[in-house]
Amino acid sequence: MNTTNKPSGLHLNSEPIAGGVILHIKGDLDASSSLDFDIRLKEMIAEGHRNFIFDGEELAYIASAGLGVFISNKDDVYDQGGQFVFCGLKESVLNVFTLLGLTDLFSFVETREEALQTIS
Amino acid sequence: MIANYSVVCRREELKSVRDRFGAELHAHGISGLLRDQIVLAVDEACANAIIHGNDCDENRVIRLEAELREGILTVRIFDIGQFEFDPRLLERDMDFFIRNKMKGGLGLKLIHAIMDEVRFDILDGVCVCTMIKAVPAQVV
Repeated sequence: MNTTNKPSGLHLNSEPIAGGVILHIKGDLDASSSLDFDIRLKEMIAEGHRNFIFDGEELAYIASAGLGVFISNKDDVYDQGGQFVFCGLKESVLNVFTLLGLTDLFSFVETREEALQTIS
Repeated sequence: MIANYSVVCRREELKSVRDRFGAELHAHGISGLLRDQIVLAVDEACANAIIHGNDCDENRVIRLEAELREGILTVRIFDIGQFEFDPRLLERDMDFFIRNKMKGGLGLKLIHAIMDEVRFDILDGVCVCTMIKAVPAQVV
């Protein structure tokens, strides 16, 4: 498992899986921390990861800047046959995706196990 | 008055704004998902003002004011600077943002989705964002 702690207060743990990675996100994904997160996600896409499971059990908050990271990187992943799967999101975080009508664009499940089944 | 204070134009200030404003809403009986949404709208407006309106200049501040009167929450953010925004973006669907790998404009879409009224005015030479939300009587 790879751990990255950023000064912005966002903590990322990445765990490789077949054909992809589980990214555990802890903290707030806002206009401050999303800059680092975007860089890290682009690095992982460039490394060849295709399927991304975002474990949001400890994701306390997401702002539009955080959503923008997923939106702006979506095609680079989906065009290669990969996908973004979100699991364990709190109601308040999932609601932000809902407000912008994004729940049909990505996959949302409750547990890591369901997420792994989704990409298998 | 729920809030009346200045915020230095640094991205890192946004978390403390969210924590403080959320606590103030809670103290005034606004909690749960409604509070989370209002905090999100205020965070987005402050982020736009700090990043796009004031270029994250730490020598500048924005001022946040909020009051709750007869079930109407009014939030004003002063000195938001001037940033160009195409109002047509509000009408665009998400496919447009994805196709163009866009990040900008999402915050204002969220603000409009949450608040009942959003205005941008110039008061005494200062650009002001005003956001209004009716708060259901049972939560006040």
